[in-house]
Amino acid sequence: MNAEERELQLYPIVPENLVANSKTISDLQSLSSSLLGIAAGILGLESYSGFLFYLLGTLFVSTLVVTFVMGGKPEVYSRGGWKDVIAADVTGGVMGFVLTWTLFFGLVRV
Amino acid sequence: MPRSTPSKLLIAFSSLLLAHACYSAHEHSLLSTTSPDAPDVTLPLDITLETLISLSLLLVGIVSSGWELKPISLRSYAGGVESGRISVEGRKGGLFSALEERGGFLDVRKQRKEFTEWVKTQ
Repeated sequence: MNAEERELQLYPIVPENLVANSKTISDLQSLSSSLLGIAAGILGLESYSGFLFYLLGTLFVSTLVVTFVMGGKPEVYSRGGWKDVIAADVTGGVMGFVLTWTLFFGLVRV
Repeated sequence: MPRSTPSKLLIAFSSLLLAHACYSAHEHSLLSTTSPDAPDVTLPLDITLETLISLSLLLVGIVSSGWELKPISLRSYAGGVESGRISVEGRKGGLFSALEERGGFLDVRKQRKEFTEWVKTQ
């Protein structure tokens, strides 16, 4: 029995809550990344500056999530703590971001 | 997900602001293509600021609109359910309330006795 299994035996977790929490976080994430895409399209960002904008925006959203939704204690609600929240945020919404980014870029500057 | 009134107002206000910024940016792009002496005009500072401010307000409004997470450690979750701080649908009185009513531990004789006494009073 390694250290992680031992930890799980001593402090068991509720899998349903883990799943429900990550679903809530990914819902919030897809919503906010679409909004970030709208803003990037309005600002007319292109190539790397758009992705840099996305990175900064998701970091902002992750900070908000950790501060407000999780009450400053991310390790209570997700297994990896704040690193897990930021990783899920950055990887989860890229597609939605690119979709609304290109859409609004095309709508604003025809 | 119950939304609180201030965050609803914040979301409404900032989405209006974002829509206005979008409209302004569109009008600005039309302007710069029609006028001859403006080859490549970047977005004015006020539209940029309006977009960024409305976006941050919108994100704050969305994040603060009552998303609920549950603690993942069984210790704090079961404690919260037991004391009623966390409400769970279809479950009353803790995670182990199923153990309170088990068919195998039913005292049939006692229940039969109670039933005959009840029948006598009718």
